[in-house]
Amino acid sequence: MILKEKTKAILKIIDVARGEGRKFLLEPECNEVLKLAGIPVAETKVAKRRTEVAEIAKEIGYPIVLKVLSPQILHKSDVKGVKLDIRDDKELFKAYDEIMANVKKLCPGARVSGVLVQRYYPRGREVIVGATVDPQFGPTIMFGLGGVFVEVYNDVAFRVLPITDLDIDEMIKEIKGYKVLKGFRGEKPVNFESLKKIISRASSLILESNDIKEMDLNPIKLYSNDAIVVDARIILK
Amino acid sequence: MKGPIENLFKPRSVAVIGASRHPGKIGHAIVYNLVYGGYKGKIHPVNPNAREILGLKCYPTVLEIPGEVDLAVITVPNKLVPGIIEQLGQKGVETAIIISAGFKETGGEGVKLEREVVSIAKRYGVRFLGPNCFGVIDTWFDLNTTFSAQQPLKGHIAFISQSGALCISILNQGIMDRIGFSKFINLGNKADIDETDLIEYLADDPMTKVITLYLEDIKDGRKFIKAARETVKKKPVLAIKSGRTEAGGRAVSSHTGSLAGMDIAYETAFKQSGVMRAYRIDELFDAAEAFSRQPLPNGDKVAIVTNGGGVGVLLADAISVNNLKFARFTDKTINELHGFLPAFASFRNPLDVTGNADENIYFSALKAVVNDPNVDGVIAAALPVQVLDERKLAQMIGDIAGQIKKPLVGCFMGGEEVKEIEDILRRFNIPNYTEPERAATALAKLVKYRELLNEFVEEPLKVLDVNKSGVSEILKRLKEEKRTRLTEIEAKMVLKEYGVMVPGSKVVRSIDEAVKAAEEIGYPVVLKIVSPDIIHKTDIGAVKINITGEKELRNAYIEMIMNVRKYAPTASVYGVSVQEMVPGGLEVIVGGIRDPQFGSLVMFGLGGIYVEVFKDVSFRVTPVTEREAEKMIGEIRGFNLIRGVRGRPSSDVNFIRETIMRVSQLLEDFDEIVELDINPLMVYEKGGFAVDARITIKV
Repeated sequence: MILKEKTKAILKIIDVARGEGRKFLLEPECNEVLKLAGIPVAETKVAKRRTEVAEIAKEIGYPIVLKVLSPQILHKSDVKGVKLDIRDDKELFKAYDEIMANVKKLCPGARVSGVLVQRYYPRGREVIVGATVDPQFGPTIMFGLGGVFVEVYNDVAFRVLPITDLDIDEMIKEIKGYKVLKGFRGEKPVNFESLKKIISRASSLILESNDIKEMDLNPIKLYSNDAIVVDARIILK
Repeated sequence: MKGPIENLFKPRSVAVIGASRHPGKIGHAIVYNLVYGGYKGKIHPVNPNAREILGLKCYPTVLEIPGEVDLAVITVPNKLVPGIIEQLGQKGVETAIIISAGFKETGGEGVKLEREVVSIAKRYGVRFLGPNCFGVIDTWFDLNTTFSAQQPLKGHIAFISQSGALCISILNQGIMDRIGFSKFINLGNKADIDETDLIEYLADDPMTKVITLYLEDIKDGRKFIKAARETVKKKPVLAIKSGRTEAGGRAVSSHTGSLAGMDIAYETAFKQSGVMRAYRIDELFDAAEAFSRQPLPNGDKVAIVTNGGGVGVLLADAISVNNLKFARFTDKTINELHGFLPAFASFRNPLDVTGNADENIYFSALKAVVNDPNVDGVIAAALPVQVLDERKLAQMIGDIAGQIKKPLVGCFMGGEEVKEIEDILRRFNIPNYTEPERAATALAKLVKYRELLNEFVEEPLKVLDVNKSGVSEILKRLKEEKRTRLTEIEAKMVLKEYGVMVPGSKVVRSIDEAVKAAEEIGYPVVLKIVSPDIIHKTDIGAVKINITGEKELRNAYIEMIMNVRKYAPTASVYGVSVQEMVPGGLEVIVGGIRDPQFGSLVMFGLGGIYVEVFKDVSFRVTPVTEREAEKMIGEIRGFNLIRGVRGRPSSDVNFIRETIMRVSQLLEDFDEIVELDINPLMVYEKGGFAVDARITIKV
């Protein structure tokens, strides 16, 4: 359950996007929505100008990630608008300039409103949580292994919403990659409680907002003590 | 002389040794089946206590039989068999079927007895089937040497079974389902004649159009692959393989070993030789029926004609599941169909003539579809409705069956009457399946065989330039030290001798040496412990990666040594290896295992921690040609990751292919290598490195 006033705040963000004629949320908007829904999301700030970037990076603390911010760009990696694991100011400015050049070249018409500065999270086990609205069955939720594996092996589990904690537990165990999440070759298990919370809250978000057509939390990085959404996409009805 | 295998099927005379006067005895049933099965050669019962059996003169031993004996069928108690074989040798009988049981299958004494039989037979050059077998039936030669209660129908399917009981049940089931056989063979214990001998013979048997096998194991894997491959060029071979054997004491310490499973050598051997594998008995004979009665298609585009929408959809699903394609009708066909079908019919494939169509309309539609040049094969589905006379329809289809040069199978469904309709269709060699999935699966096998025939190319094996003596020396040292596991360093040396790229490295024994080595190699470097006792180094913290400077190196060195002392205190440590830190790339795995029946197999797959979860790997029995190596790469599900998808760079397929071939050659050259892993093989847009390697040998 998401608190009423939080639901209101979420709907307000969605209204803003709609007002601008957009069918999807910008990354800062996504992050805000997820935060309001109680889903842990990578700390992210917007830098509108080159001069702001270093200061914000310092605030968040290196290493950081830079991502282009533009209402015209949904798949940021495809236009080479993402730079990972930036470790100092020098690397930062270089990355910034490269992103701007790439975007100008690969997506010349895009209006760039700045960059996102995000904390860089180390390599963890990656999963995906997604939601879609089926024409017959209504909102559904999906869970599976994330990263490149989701497309290759299709190792995912689906449920029609709403779901109980027991369903969530079953979903997690249903995928083949559960073995990897449980810990493999001396590795510790991921924090399943955090993962379950994310799935449960994502379900509530879809049911209660009633405005989301599709949502992808991909990847969610899982650690033995924590779980965090590193990238998200929300598409509106 | 017809040759010993031919004697099994076309003997001019048969001696039944252990023939009995008493109905109910096996020795009686065999004489009975020979006599009443219509066998036209001479039958000689052998029994020292009888004068006559079923009107035939009885002989005390085979030696008293006048003239030549081509085949002896032996049913005497097991202990007497060696003596009988001795007599056959003296008489000059070339071929025997040992029905008697109580040999290897019982263990202990039986094993010894079987060995004795084999050695006597070898001495005299007697070839034999069994022991512990049901015998042989050749329907076209009217020869039945078994104790079956019924005679199978004549047809063009040869069935070779390792199980006698299965033989009997298939025989009876076949009579009920009107499946025709050319030969029925039970292998028994395969002490001499085995599946490979029989496949080779049946390849040239004019009455056999398709060979079906039920196997529990294969005696000589490599011989089988070679013979099966040659046979498949002449006629299709279908096989069920069960009874997954224990992996012959295969010690699994590598990733490749754990990924291989027990069945993989068979799966691979079938694939490499073009034997089509079935997993169910009905699947096996559904396909065999189609092969024995229908021509091969020229392509994979299938048309469905139905008078019921539901069956059409089920068939469409089955077509997709079986990787067949839907034929697109030409405009000419569609125009023709508009001439007689109601406007609400579906004019696309699957063609639904609707439940209103009578047999004439259905038949016209089917004819139009069959004649469409875009159609390679047809499934005709019909459901019993009042307006359509299925019997008439079957007869009409039958009348044109001979003119159709593409495969046509029936999917006539619904109740008791189907049997009658199936009989009509079968008269015209049209197999019928009462389940859509079965019709599609059978047709898919025809398409698959056509593709196999198209794919057969003889490709010379490329021998790569390698340093064989270098590897011999490394392995010799190991054998002297009675070690079975190479250290990572040794394994990489072996690979390097065979031209596999490995990162630069140096083994050191102190921190100062490590610092010096790191400076030579250049930072960043990796530290790894060198020990034959520690296989999974990462698990105990015996690997330190991405060390960028001296201070870090010194700390990492100490930490690693501490970890080893703590977690593997008894391991003998040869030193520490300082290695070039290679950049990240696509991690794949190339490995090798040795199978007791098939010898060495090479493996390829995606690496990383997910390899064991998804088991996305491909195998080949070595040696592999360039083309086979290429196919191995394309076969895995993760091939898209190698090709590069969504902004990811592509990886060097040539480099992977060459590495596979080099590993294949290494496994071929050195029998003593029982397991090999390159995991990961780091692959870049151009080139790559064997970052970690393991090799186990037998000493």
